[in-house]
Amino acid sequence: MKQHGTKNAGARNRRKFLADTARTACGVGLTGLALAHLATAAKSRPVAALRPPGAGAENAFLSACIRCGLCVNDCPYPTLGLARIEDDVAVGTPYFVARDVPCEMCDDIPCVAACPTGALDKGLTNIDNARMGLAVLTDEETCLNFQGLRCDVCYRVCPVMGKAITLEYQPNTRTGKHASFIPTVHSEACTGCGKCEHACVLEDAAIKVLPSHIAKGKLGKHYRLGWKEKEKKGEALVKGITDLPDRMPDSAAEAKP
Amino acid sequence: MTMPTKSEAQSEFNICGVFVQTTPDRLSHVERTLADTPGIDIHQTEEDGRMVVTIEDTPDKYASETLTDLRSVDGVLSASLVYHHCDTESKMLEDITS
Amino acid sequence: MKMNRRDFVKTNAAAATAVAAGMTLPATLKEAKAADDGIRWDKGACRFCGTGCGVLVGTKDGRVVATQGDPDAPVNKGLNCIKGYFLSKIMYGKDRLTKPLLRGAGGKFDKSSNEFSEISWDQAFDIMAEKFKAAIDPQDPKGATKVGMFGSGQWTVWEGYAASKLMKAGLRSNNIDPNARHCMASAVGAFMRGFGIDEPMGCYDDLEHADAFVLWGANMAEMHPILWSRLTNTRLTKKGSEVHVLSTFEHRCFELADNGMIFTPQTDLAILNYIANYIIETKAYDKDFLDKHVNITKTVTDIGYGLRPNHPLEKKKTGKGGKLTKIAFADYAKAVSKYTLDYASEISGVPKDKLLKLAKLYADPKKKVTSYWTMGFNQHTRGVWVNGLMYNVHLLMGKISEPGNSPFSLTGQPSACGTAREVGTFAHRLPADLVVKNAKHRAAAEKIWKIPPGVIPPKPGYHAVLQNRMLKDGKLNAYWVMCNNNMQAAANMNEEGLPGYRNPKNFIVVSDPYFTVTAQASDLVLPTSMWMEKEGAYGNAERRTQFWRQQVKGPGESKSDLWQLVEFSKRFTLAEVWAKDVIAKSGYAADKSLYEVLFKNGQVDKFPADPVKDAAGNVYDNDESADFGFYLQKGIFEEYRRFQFEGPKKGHEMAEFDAYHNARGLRWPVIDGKETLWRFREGYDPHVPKGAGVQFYGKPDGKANIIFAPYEPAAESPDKEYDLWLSTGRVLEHWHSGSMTRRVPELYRAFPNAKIYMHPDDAKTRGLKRGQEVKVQTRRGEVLTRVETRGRNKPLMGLIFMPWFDASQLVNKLTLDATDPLSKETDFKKCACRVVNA
Repeated sequence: MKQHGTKNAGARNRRKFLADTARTACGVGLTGLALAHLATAAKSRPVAALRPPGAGAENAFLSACIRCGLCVNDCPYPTLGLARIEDDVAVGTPYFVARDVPCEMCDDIPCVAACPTGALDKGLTNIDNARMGLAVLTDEETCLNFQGLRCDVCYRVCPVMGKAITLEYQPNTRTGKHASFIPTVHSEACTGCGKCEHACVLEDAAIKVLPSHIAKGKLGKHYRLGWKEKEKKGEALVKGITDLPDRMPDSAAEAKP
Repeated sequence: MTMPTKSEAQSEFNICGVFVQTTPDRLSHVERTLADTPGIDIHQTEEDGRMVVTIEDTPDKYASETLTDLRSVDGVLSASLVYHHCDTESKMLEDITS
Repeated sequence: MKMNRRDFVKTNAAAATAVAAGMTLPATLKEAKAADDGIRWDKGACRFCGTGCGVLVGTKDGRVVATQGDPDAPVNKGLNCIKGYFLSKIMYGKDRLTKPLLRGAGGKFDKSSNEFSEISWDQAFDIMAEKFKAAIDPQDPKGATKVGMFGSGQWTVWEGYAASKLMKAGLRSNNIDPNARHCMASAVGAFMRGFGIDEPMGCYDDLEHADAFVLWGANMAEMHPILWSRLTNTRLTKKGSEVHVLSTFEHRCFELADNGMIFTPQTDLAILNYIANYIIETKAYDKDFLDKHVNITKTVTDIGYGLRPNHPLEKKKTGKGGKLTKIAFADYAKAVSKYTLDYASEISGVPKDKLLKLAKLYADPKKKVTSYWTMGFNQHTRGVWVNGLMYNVHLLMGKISEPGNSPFSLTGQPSACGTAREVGTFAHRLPADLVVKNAKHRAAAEKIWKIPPGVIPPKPGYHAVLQNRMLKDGKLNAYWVMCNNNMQAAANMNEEGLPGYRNPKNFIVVSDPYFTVTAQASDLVLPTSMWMEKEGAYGNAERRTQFWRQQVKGPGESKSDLWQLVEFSKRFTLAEVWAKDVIAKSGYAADKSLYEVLFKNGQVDKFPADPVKDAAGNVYDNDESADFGFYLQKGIFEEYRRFQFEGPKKGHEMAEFDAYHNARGLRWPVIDGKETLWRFREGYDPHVPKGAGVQFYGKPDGKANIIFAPYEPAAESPDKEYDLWLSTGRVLEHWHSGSMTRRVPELYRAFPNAKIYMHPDDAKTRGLKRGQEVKVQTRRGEVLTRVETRGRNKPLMGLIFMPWFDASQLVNKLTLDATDPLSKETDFKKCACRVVNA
């Protein structure tokens, strides 16, 4: 039993196939989607390819990364790899695929320490502040916990357990006597390490780590959630508002605790 | 670099979904030709000349080769690869009904 | 409709292409629905824990291809935990054993060899019989003390029964013990001392009836996941319900806890006495209940730690055994008065307000309280005591034997109750709560078994820990290990287990589906059919007995434990195992085989080997029936039932064999076609006479015992040299030493290797980083592992937790084989260790 999976053979063959197809296609001037796809591959990294901790927005990262490979070299796990020519990621840049080998979230973040250019932000000193992506429970229909089973493997492997992924309890109305434990991701704590996606026991993971800009919704600037604003401030935003007591019959007033 | 022919290569198996654009008046000719080509299945045809086909490896030819040949068929304007799946041959033949 | 992956991919490819081209899909291109194509579904029970979830098993072309939670099973209503989700894969690990393997090259036994060679079953039984016979002196009045067997709470009911009968009635050896000794023995001891009859009075329905739950050394969130989801549901939906959790480290149950308490190991003894003290001081106890139904007693103290007699701790002890002395209520009150809130808080480290909240809960007559415990109580050098102190609290309040008021001992193995306990595969027991020490009990067993008086030796045999010591000392020489992985599971492997197995005087046989650590240490490995490869029966923690039919055949030449036991009995004649005068008394011919005396005895072979059918008319294999020519399982079960109805002890009655194949399990006692949910309570339990209200009929006077026992320290505590507590345990993903779960790739990936859970500051002061490789060392050995300072378990400073499922990190090289002197169960939760940089 080996500890880490290798990047899967199917994916590699797929790349080889596409390369072959592209070569023949170019030769005869084939038009259409396939070519377009290949042309854009280098620019838009596939959603499964995650950047090391401390990498900022993709464009900024690409311009700062000098493809030296030092971060990959210092990664103590087989997590980080350098994109090769046949990969769908800008050649020579570091990335990892969570489903294959997730980030182990080293306390001393050796990949960031190794980066000579600041493409990986030296300001990242606490690995809990890394944002490599965001876990998203992409499929409630296959997630075992949504069906009421007691899997919650994603929750238990999470290095920020209880913060990045919590289990929200819901009564299981079908059985009438069990509770369902709904895994819920919290973006303010999720580092995008990919442990959850890696460990998901389904054939295809129901929880996936996606680049944050794809995963995350954004509330319009024109609206705030009142209860959160109040919590942030620690008191009502508008002060000095009064309320008059309601008139009650004596008996009802007594019954009130 | 020469590409190994299908019969020499290891037992991987490719299936592609390909979008074919034809000139509408040559559509039936293209249909007939493709129907006779090993490894090609036609799934859908529209009167405006659009076709959905799948191409898979055959004992002598990679799907990519069939795809290349496909373009030289009279009446084909373009053939675009939309979907590609690669797996081992034995895996492909697995029964998945259960 | 048949479909292979290629067709499926093509359909998908076409669909994706159509979508990309903006074309609408014709119906034929929609993903073809996999038709339900001849999967045969039948009911079964989960292979893993003592919860006993009902499952449906789907078989096709001789292979279990799918399972599902049984939507109508009362325990789990179609749900499973993640282990249950992968049940269909546990029989199909790549390294299933298919042929007997003998240590030595070319099929020739060589104890010193490092290789195994394949042999036939005939050759295997030849050498096994030779070694067993060499260790048996039929004329020895003490019986065959040099042969032994180590069995399992994962044995089916009939396998445990056949093993016990073969050993005690056939070979005349009481040296048979199950791995349930490591797991449930303390619970059993306390049931017998407190109530005179084994197993919980309540049932899982308490999960809905209780107002409050208290967990004592039970991490139900991981170890009983489905029961935990029921408990959680009650906490969510029942107004005013509360959950209290006590443990020596923070685990996943604390998340739901209204009152979570981390206490210093061993001080549960003090906390429980404090609660009793609080109940008495506040006069909250139920005087009427105590007067009518309870005797007050105290137990002998300072009884040592079940170590080898030459151990310094054993020389220091002043008491011995578990004798009870009746005392007055006032004496009991005085004994617990020492356990004040201040004292309990100081010794346990739990803040006073939390302890007070807990005590108030128990003392509130209006709150229905169910207490759960598992290994935290049982694997304890004072395990019987601490179980008893728990009952003291419930008995003081009369909160027992009624819906929602339930002290409930959970079990770890799927049939720890049904097989190990009910059938009596312990060194001191016989079926249905009888014991070998009692002459009447032996006589009853001998009568039912149709063997002459004097066959069953009166002295209890070697228990689990003693078996390993006797192997090491060369006093136990022919040894059969079945359905367990004791080399990995037993404490102090370096000093006891391994030297015992490798002692040149001994011949060790291991029956297992897989080449486990134990198999690797043995001399002969027998390939074993498992779970759905045989007809089976398990009994879960709420007294529910569940059957299943054989669904598939075992791989290669593998055979069930039952077949192995019965087939092996053919190898012995009476003259080889019984004394001449005993044979003379029996009226049997001296050359009669044990098979004919024990199994083909006109009783066990009573039922014909007719085809096994379900209600739909499907026909199932029964390999044992086919081989022996009679319905062996049914014959054994019906003989076992005679113990329940004709034996000297009532209360264990079960329904007829066939009823269980038609039911989703039944909770005993099953009388007049009805199950029993709460025992000892009039109206619920048919054994309690009208007007009695409550009767603890396991005791002659119908009264339960409150048993005072004090706090006494652990056998080994941290000191300067070894400065941390080491607690071992389990994780949700792996069960039964990982021998099955680690062979399921998905479960393996979910938790590949063991690690130590440690407080971040403990790591920091030792200069250790999370994920770093370290050595855990004790006085007995060291293990290489990695540090985890995050995640599911959060110890306070001073304690580390390490799971034991990982065969590549044998944590039992570290543990101490200190046991409860009463239950003989090992304390796997407490020893002293240190952690250093690897």
